[in-house]
Amino acid sequence: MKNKLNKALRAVPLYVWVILFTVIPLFMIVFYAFFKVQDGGGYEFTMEFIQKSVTNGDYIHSFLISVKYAAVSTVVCLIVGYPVAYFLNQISERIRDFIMVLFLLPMWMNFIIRTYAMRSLMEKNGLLGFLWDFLGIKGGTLIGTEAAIIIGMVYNFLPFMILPIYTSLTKMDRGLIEAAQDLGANKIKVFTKVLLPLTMPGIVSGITMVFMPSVTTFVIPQMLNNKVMTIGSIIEYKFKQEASSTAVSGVGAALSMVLMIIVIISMTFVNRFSDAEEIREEKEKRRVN
Amino acid sequence: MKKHHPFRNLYLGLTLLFLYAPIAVLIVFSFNADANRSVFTGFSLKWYEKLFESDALIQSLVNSLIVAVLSSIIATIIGTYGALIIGKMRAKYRNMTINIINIPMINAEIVTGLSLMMLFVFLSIPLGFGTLLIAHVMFNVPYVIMSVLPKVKQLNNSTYEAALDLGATPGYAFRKVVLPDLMPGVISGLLMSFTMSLDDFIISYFTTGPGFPTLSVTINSMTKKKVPLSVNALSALMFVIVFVVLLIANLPKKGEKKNG
Repeated sequence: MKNKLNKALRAVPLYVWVILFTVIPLFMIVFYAFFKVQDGGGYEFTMEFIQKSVTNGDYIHSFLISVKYAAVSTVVCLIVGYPVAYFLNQISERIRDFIMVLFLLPMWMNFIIRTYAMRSLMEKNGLLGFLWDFLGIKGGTLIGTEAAIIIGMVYNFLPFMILPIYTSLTKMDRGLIEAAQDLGANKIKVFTKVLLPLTMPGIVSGITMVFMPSVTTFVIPQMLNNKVMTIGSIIEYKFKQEASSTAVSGVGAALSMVLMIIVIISMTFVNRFSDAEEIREEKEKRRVN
Repeated sequence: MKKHHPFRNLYLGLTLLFLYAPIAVLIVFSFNADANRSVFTGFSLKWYEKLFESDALIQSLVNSLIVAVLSSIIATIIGTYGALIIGKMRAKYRNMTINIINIPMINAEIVTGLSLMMLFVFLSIPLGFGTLLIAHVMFNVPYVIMSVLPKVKQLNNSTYEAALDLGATPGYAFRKVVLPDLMPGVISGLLMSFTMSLDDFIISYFTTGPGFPTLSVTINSMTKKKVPLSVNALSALMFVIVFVVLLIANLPKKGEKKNG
């Protein structure tokens, strides 16, 4: 009896920590989305913010384009990354780990520095602009184009796609492909009937790990094409530029809540194919290799 | 028999080129003689000198390192304790607890950052070093728990009890019997937290104040204006350090697989 109580008591600090810094903060988003700070200092219930965030055309537009850019980038990462993972898995084991490290190394550069590096390359007076001039394309720059955003996202998040697919390929029994070939399957059949289903968990983790940061980013559009307001940019603007650092933007909170709901829905959808554990494993691999 | 795979090697090579070209250009121009970012006018180390004169960059680097060291140590202590508690829970509670703890790992970083910022604003805690540290510990704890938990599940309880029977105090038995078994998980959690913390931008951006900028926050604000090439110099130095460390860690070791 005493033992049981002891055991329960020992868990209390953990729950206090989790509730205080994980659960309550999420409720704060909901709170600020529905409650307005009054001039006197009290709070007043309001539907104004949430109504604005789901009816204002600008916000709807930014949600849609964020999903569009993230979806295109995810597809590009999948198309580019799948063969990379496949080829990596074929390399002789002697040098495979080393090549893998080469693919992961750029991820150790800070995200901001990587995006800045991409911008320096794309700028009008950057190396690509110089190349454009050389090729006779006057004043050519990628900065400010839709392609810039896509390239920026693919550049930053491609390894997130390669890694989980590569992991599921290494777990796969190579004999299966040979067996399928022996049984008369052609290359396409081998791909659709053997490779694709067996690497599905990796593909799904990869899609999550690319789509999530892409759909919420504000750094990439701000640095590479600041004419585009993604939902991340709008939320960032509401909190960091419109409001002072001691106030919370109600509309910003409402937009974050909508964003959170979108994230939860897509995560539950994805979780049917993969699980959080797998995503964590992948994140860990890219860090501690 | 040795097969050649021209297409495979070309494809992998081109992908690596895509990943490294921006970094390579960044590094090359850190040696440029003037502030030009497209024309290399001559070799010079002046941006490296400027870097060490730039209080903003050096101070933010120091800030980043302080937060990374402190938050990873605190997160490792909380996370190891958490993993020990969770490991002993019944399956039903365990899964529920893990799901809640995993939220910051799965949630979008901007949402995590904002939610913490709102909490601090609600409690009228001024944003700065303290709030930044709490935020970093908060997002690092799940990684530590998840890397220690498998080790907790493998623990053999009877060795701990044997130690107690042989007269060890619970604390002594924990340090001498339990902790060594957990160590690989603890170390990998610590390293992971450290690098996650150092790499973070989004959560730091929302939870720190003007008085305590981290490196990524400072560089981000510099990109709004003309970026001094000393940023390139700093990036080059950081890249070379990581490159060498990873190379040393990954090159030789035959037979033994990674262990954190």
